[in-house]
Amino acid sequence: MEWEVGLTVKDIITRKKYTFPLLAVWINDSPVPRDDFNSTKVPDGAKVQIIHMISGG
Amino acid sequence: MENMKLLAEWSYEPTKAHRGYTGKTLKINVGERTFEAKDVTEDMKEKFVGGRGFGLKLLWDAVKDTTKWNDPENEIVISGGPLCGITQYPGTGKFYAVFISPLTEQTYDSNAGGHFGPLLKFAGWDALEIQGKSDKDVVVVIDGDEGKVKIFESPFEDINAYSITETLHEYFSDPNDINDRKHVSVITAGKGAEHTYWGCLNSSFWDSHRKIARLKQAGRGGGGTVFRDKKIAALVVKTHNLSGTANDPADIDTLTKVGLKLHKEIFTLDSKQCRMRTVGTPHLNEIMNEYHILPVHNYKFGQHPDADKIHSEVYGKLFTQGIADGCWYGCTLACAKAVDNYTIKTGPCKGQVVTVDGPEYETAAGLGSNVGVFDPEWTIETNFYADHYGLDTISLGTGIAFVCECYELGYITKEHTNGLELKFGNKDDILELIHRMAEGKDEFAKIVGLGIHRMKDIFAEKFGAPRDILEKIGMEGQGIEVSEYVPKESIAQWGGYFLTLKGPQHDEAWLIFMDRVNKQLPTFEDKAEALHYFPNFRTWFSLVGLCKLPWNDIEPADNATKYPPQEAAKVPEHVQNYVDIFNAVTGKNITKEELILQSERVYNFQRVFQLRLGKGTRKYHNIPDRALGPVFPDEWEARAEYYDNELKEAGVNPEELSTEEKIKKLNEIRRQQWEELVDAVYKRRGWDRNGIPTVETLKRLGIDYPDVVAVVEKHAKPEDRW
Repeated sequence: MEWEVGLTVKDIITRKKYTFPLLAVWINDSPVPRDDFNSTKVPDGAKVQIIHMISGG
Repeated sequence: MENMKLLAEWSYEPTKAHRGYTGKTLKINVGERTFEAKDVTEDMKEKFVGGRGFGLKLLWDAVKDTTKWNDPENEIVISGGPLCGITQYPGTGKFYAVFISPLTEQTYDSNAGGHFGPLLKFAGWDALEIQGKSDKDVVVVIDGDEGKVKIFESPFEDINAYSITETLHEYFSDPNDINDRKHVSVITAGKGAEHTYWGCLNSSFWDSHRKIARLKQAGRGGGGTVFRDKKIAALVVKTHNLSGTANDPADIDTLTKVGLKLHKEIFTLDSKQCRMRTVGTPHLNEIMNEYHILPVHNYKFGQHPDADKIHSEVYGKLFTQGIADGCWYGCTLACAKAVDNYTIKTGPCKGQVVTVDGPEYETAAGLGSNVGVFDPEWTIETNFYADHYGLDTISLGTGIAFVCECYELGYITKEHTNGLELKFGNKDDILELIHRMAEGKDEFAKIVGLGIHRMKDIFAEKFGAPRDILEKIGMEGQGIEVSEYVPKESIAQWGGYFLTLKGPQHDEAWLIFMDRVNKQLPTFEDKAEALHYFPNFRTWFSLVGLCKLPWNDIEPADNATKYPPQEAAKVPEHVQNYVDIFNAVTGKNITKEELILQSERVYNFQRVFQLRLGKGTRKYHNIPDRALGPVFPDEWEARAEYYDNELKEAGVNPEELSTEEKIKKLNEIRRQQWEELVDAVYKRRGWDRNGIPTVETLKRLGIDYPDVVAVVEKHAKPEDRW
């Protein structure tokens, strides 16, 4: 994914069409709280991990 | 209702539960009309824990190696488990029914919420065995207040679930107090269960808000078919021994504290997470569609442009909001959603205004997208009739999806279907087929009700359909239909469905996100580890009487940041909750590792049980081509970029191949991967190459009973050792 100035975690999730609510995000091996997805900026060249938890019976 | 004619009666002294157990099990033979109480031994509690474990142990002792599903000695064993009936923690009202299945011809376990499991225990019984075959329809009643078990001749001409459940709640409670009906619970099946192999067990609970009896289902495996084969119209339990401490837990303070912690989590976080309290499991509808996992047209596709019509918000508006929809006391997750004031449009109940339980995700997908219908009202009506007739909505959906594809391929015509045009999306004719299945007179409907495994034989042998294509597109394993997730893009989920004890349902492992989306399981050993841990962890719920949903359909706010991703998927804090509440109820002191060990014992015991019944080896762990990948060109073209990349990653240049050649090549690659997965999983589970637990495994688990070891030694071959 192309980086751009101001890119947030939420932007990446939207572009990847990740609609599942139970996501875990790690930037450069540091976790990002879900409540901070909108405000957390992603640095250029960062290692971003987006993990889907499991749900369903 | 007129007084029922008493056929047999037996008295007992109800034993109160202590530390989660009453220490007694009840055996009723409805054919001989005999009754027996048995003691629960310490070894039974230690090795089999309760619930499904007790069911398997009692069934093992009751049947022969040659017993078939409709032999009198086959049983339905119903047991909750030591945590069943606590009210301090959400999701604690489950019972597990164990029986030899008409579909798979081996043991099956299926669970339901509602009040039956807790009331059975509080009426004095850790488990109930029902054996024998009655010569006439009967109503069996366990009265924990009087300390009596009675068998009545059924007075009902119509034994469908909604026709008799509420009547029985009323009949066995105080006529002057409608709220007294909460002390009764009823299990029913119905005419659909009688005339097909897809029979479910409906378990009732009195909804004190709506003042009606509602139904939850032990849907899978054909338990309702066994129930009706025994000519049981209804099974009733009654007791006023109902309180938050009826299990006599060892440590009520810890139980309350842990429960409160989860209640707070649910109240704070559910609206931001899965919205179980407002839309229930249909919160998955649009998510599965986004990730190409929603089954469409017999699993050909994982997405459909009309999926927005079955969006969870659509269902959320149809469900009555603002009512506590728990199916047992204390369940604040409250996902037992219902549609009130629904007017039935077809069939024998046409014109009646009813409350419909659900639909849950599996029903919304199975009797929705998978059969090409994107009309929630139709799915609600079909859900009502499935419950009423006692039919499993999952097998019904997947089975009819198979029929529709066969119809569209021209393998069956209106001549075979007696006039029904069973194309995808032809909802009127599909619903008519379901009515005919329940009625039991139409020959084609009878064939459909035998399930995909047998339909393949009949369509090929009698209708001349090509056997090879039927084998590729028939979404079943071990004789039972696949539940409602498209597995073809996740190698680990092939195992989650098809390397299971009893066939492809989703109660052992759901690994699609971990494997395909997160790429957390890159090697076969990684996948095998997941296919060891998750089936065993999830088995544990079935031993103790719990619902799985509060484990991972809600998670602590810091779960995703506190633990590394692999560990976070287990929801460690909730695992610890389960250890804590188990210890708080039973007074034991297990660890999270011992929790897995408890499951592993029962898991391997059930595997040996399948072996004893002539199954349980590698050849029964089969997988259809459609579960591995595309079968027809339009399936490939719908995800061409994805599948082309799969070939490239395997070192094959797709540009040199036609679509048919690509399908063949990818299938060859995936068949090879499947065999590698099977090997890795068997090794991790301590089984030999043929999928048989080794004697060393039985010894390690402490289940090396002489009769269990004898089964393994009879079937295991030296050349199958690793």
